[in-house]
This record gives sequence, structure tokens and C-alpha cells, in this order.
Amino acid sequence: MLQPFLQSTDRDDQHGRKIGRQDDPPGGSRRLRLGKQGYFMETFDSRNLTFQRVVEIGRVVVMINYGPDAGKLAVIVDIIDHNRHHLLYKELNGSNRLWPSYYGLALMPLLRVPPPALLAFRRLTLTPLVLKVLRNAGQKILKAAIEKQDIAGNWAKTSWSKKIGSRAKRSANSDFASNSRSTVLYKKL
Amino acid sequence: MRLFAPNEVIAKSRFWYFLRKLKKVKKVNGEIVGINEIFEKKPIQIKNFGIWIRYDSRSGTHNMYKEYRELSRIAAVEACYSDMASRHRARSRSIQVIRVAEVSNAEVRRPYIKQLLLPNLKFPLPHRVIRAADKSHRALFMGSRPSTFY
Repeated sequence: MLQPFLQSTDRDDQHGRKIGRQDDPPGGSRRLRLGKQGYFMETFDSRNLTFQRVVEIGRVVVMINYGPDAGKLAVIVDIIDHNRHHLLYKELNGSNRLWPSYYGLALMPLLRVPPPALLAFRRLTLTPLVLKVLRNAGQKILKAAIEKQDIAGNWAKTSWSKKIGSRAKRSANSDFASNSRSTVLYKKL
Repeated sequence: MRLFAPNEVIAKSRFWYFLRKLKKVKKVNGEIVGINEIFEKKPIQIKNFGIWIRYDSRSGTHNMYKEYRELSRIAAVEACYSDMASRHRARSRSIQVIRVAEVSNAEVRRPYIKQLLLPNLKFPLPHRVIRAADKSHRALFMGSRPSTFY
């Protein structure tokens, strides 16, 4: 079930004053009525100031901790559940070609049917980027959306990706020639 | 007979177990003609499965209906067995899966599944545990306390 902190309310008391938890998000939360049972569910307000990065359809994530595809970007395309934190994702890297692995969707250029791509949230880190796609968007739509919203560009702008890049560069430094560590140090100074 | 088993050996054994309940025949007097693995038709599509179970508890035998959201029937039944073991301490030998059916979003009965079927489902991951990318990078001690905020 959803965590307690999500159950912020938007109720008014009889005098029209807002009642509820002190840490309600400014816009209140949306309550959804499910079916005829009157079962209320709190949905997570995207304007919440505390939690900006949310698991949602279209959220771009980075995989860490995850053998073959560690460090690659992916998009959450569907959510299975949140207790066991499984999700379906489609992988995107620079060239938008996908690599086969148990956890990844394999998509050879000939568009073969990909194996299921199920990933636990604990194997991912959410990024601040979101793609505007619908649930279970296909490869073509994803590709078009990625290009249109320039995810690659936006990702490159983030300091996160810059840090990854600099880390990679630093580890590629050797003791010799132009990319030696001492040269870099001098340049910094 | 369609049943769920982790391998052929157990499948054959369960076959005889169930057949004995249906007809007076034992393994000694019978012969299994064929055994085939049935694969999921759409293993990439997330489906809601309703599973009807009959299980023995410590004090009696009960029927149950549980729902799972999985990619395949096999995964759903596996989840069911694990779930029964954890919630009811029911071992697999005490569980009989009566029926597994795919359930459409409208027909889902259980609130813990319904909450995942909301149209614009989104939720944060409030406690982020930072794990090493691989075993060689695991650290026994850390210089500073990790932040669990995303």
C-alpha cells in the first residue's frame, strides 16, 4: 500500500479551514474514487516539493548496479507494481540501439520481438528527466519522443552526466603524454 | 492436465497426485504419454492474474482467491506460492492451484492490485539505497553517511 507520507489530505473543516497534515504539498493531493466501493486512493501530487523524481511512465532512469547494462539510460514504459518494484523499460543509449540481455529489451535492426524487460527499482536511479509518452509506447514512438524532447542533449547538460564523463576521462588518464594526470593537474592550477 | 511445477520430475509427480484424486489409478498402473512445457503467449505484456487456490492450513483446508500483477502465468503462480508461504506459512505441498485466469483491469477485485491500475500512476522512491555497481566496488566502511534522498 502507499506509504503514510503520501496520504496528505485536502479536506476542509466546517469553518472552511484546511485540515490535514502539516506537510501537505501546497496544491493538496488529488483523491481518486475507485469504483462503487468508495475506495479512496491518494495519488501522488507531482507538485510535491519534497519528492521531485517520481516513478512514472516516461521517467528516464539510469541503471547502476546492474551487470551488463550498468550506466545506461532507460525509460520506464510500464509499471508492474511498487512493492516488489518491477518495471518494464526500454533502453536507450546514444544511438538508440538496444542490446540483448535478460533485463534489457533486445531490438535488433530487423525488429525481432524483444524478450521481457523487467527491472526492479532498486537496480535503477531516477533522473530528473521525463519523457512525455504513453504507457507501453512502442519503439518508434519512443525514438521519436527522445529525439523531439532531446533527452540526449538534456542529459548531457546535467551535472550528473558531466560528472560521469569527467570520471571516465580521469580514469582513462595515464602517466604519459598529453593526457597524463600531472598535465591535467597543471591545467587545473 | 495443466499444472505448474518447477521441473518435469515434479510435474510428473503432481500429475499422479491429482490424477489419483480424479480416478482410481496409480503411477504403477499408468503411463504418462506426453509432457509438454506451455509457454506464455505474450510474455512482455503486463497482466493481472487471478489465482484460485485450495490450501491446507494447520487447522483446516480453505479456498482463496488472490491476484497478482505479472508478465506470465508462471510468474504469477510462482509469486502466489511465495506469497502463501510468507503470509500463511503454507508449504507448496499444501497448496493446490485450482485455476489461474487473466483478469482485465475492470474485473480486478483486490485493492492492492487496483491501486496499480490507476491511470497516471506515479510514486517516489523515498528511501534510496546506494549500491555498488559490482561486487568489487563494495565497501565495508564509508567515509561519510550516505544520503538516502533521491
